[in-house]
Amino acid sequence: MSQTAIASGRAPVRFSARRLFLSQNLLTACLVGIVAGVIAYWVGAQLVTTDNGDAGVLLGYIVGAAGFLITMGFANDLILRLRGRPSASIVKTAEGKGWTEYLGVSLDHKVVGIQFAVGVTFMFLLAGFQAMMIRTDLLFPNGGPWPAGQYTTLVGLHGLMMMFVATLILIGAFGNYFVPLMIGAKRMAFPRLESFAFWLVPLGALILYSTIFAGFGGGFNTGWYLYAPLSVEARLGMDGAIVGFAFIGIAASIAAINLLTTIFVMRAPGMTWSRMPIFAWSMIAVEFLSALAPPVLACALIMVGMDRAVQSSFFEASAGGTTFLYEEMFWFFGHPEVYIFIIPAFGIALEILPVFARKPLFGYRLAVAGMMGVAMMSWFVWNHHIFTSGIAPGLRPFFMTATELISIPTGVVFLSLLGTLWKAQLRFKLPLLFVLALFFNFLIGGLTGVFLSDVPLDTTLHDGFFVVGHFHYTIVGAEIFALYAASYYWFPKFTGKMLNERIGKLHFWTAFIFFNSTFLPMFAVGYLGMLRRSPVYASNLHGLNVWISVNAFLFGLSNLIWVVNIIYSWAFQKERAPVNPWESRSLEWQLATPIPADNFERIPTIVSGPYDYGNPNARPVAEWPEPNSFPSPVPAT
Amino acid sequence: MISNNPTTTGGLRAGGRSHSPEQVARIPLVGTWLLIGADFFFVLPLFFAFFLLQQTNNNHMWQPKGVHPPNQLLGAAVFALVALGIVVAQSGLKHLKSQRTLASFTNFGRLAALLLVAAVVVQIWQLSHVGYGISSGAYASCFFAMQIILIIQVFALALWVVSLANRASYESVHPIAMPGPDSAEEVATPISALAHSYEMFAIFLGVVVLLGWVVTYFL
Repeated sequence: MSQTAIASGRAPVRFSARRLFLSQNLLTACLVGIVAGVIAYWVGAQLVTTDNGDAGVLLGYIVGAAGFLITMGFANDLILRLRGRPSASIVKTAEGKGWTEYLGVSLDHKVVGIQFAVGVTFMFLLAGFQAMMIRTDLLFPNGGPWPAGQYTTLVGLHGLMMMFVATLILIGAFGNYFVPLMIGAKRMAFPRLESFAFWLVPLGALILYSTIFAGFGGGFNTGWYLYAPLSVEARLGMDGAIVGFAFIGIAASIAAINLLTTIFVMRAPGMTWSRMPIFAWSMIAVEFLSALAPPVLACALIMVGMDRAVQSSFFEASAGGTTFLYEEMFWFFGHPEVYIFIIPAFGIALEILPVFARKPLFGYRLAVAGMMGVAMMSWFVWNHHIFTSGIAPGLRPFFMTATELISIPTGVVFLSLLGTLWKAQLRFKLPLLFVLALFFNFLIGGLTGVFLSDVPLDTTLHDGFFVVGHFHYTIVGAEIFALYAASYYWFPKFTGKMLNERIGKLHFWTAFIFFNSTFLPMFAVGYLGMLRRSPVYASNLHGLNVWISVNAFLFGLSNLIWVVNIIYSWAFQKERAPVNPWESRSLEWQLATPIPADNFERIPTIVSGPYDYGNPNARPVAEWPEPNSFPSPVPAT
Repeated sequence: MISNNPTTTGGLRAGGRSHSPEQVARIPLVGTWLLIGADFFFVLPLFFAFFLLQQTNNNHMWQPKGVHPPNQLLGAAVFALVALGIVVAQSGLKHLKSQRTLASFTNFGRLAALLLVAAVVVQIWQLSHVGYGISSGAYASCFFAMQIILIIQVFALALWVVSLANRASYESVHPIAMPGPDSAEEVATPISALAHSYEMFAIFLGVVVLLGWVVTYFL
């Protein structure tokens, strides 16, 4: 056992992947990926000469990505299995590899969780920077520094990248890291797939960003929907957008299958459905969407790729296709996708609130039913996105009603949150502040959604800034605020340090104020007729747009405060956080910090629910079998 | 040391140092159900596209002149080979129940894989001799896309059954032992659980191939 590991309080047990003959080195993998991609591009360009080079580009991206992943070591276990050898790659070795394990394939869900957290946060900042560029352009009513074509590419990149972020930040970082701990599992059900899902993400992002360079196609000007026929006719950059988007979809689907299997199968004894933390329930609700919706998108993107590379005719009307097909498939994926963003945010709010309210979660079963109801109903509302695209008029009332009905299970979740707040002795710590802000923001986002589901109003406001305001209130106002809340809440368990309270308060107030002063006026400019994806707008909206842009910059700045706080607290703060600083009853807080690599030396028996706050006679959450190297559960008062 | 016996310890392993064999055996089963769900949603748009474009018949280009469903018998042959491959592997599953007969499954598994690969070869031959290309209207696009995606999956199924056959062969020579309840070693996924997962997915894929044949060759 390593003395260093003991001194740091970190258990030295580690998972390692079998090396076989492939290197598992990030630099080698990058090199192999690039070389394989270039060769495949050349071969593709030689094989298919009837297109504009799309076959070569598509093949280059796909083969390059495969080369990267194989060299990282993902084929090793497959080769072993093909040879009939039992998978032996979950082998405990004596010591960890230090920070370098975050740059490779890890079978430890905590390492993958941090990989997701850091990687996706970086993408979030990058896409946020693009938002600042968009707002810079909109400081000028007749078009700003970027030419119109580049502006639409910028909007598409921002949208697509933020979709990646919103899909994966809560599930990837917090789901992967904490769900196994919350349910008493020692590992994920499919640790290799978990790591594979993560590595698809930077790959997808890199491919997406490669499209902006002229040699790779000069971006894509379709917005994040990649609507046909624009996407079929767009320049070469579209090929990268297709592959990148598909990778993220596949990653989301794989991560979902993994997390669902883990929850269904690997719960500790006594962890009945009614004792399961509400965050894990939110993961069940969302992962069914995340497992099933992205495959529809993947199929649609394959069709777009085929139309571009081999001239099939799915979307080309003159050759028998119809663009309506793409819209239907895209939004069949796209609307459940919206709830993939928001349901984990509900889960985080419901998980955090009782801890700071010091009373049981109100209507636990109702909240579970509410989240499940939202997830289920999200399959039946997609056509509200295409009310103005020529759908059969008879379909509109059904989809309008279905969309309005979805506010009922959402309201049930809200009721649970409000009931928990009722007569609570609140501890106004940072996680709670962000949850309360989430309440406020999502109320506005949700109510404007009800307006937009109404056909006459949607027909008027469609494709305008009212819609932009609405979805930013739901995605940023709720999901990103949930991300902030979760980061303040779980940071001590991630790193053993507390996030700085004073910097955190500055972050909270700047984020809350400038978020609202950015996005609230968007409803007004949208109502006054300002269109999305257009760099030009009426001159009477100039003043409001300047206001929005200035506040957007300040909101962007508030995010930098958050990042500075994370870096400062993680790297420079010397004081270690208590094991359970919030006095939470949830299982992950009963473990030592940092969490041992094996999570639980012995699997505990769960004997009561996680939300019995305020009950002096409440039983501890778990019974820990002897020998027990973990601290005693914190009494719930 | 790893184990393939899910019945020895019995019950969930509270207080144990690793997850119980029962839990480990359920992992591939639950995972495969979810995989089937995801794959269902992956192939669903292909069928949706077929019917939507057929009904729309934009510019009368659903089946332009010279484009027609290919030889139904060849399509039937592809389906028959896939079905036979699935049935052969299925009939070998009973040999997985005892250590002594494990090696017998190897032969069934390899024969099944051979049949599945034969189906792939026949389909590739047919696609290259159908007389028109993927760009010959909407029907051709749907036909090629669906059949290519399905034969890729059939090929993956062949690799899956090969891995099972090889595993059975390996285990017949190297029996895998069970770690004690206080061991921190991982319990190996039992071959019976892996085979059952394969069986579920194979049946699902067989049904999809059948539907694909009926839809693209007859409707």
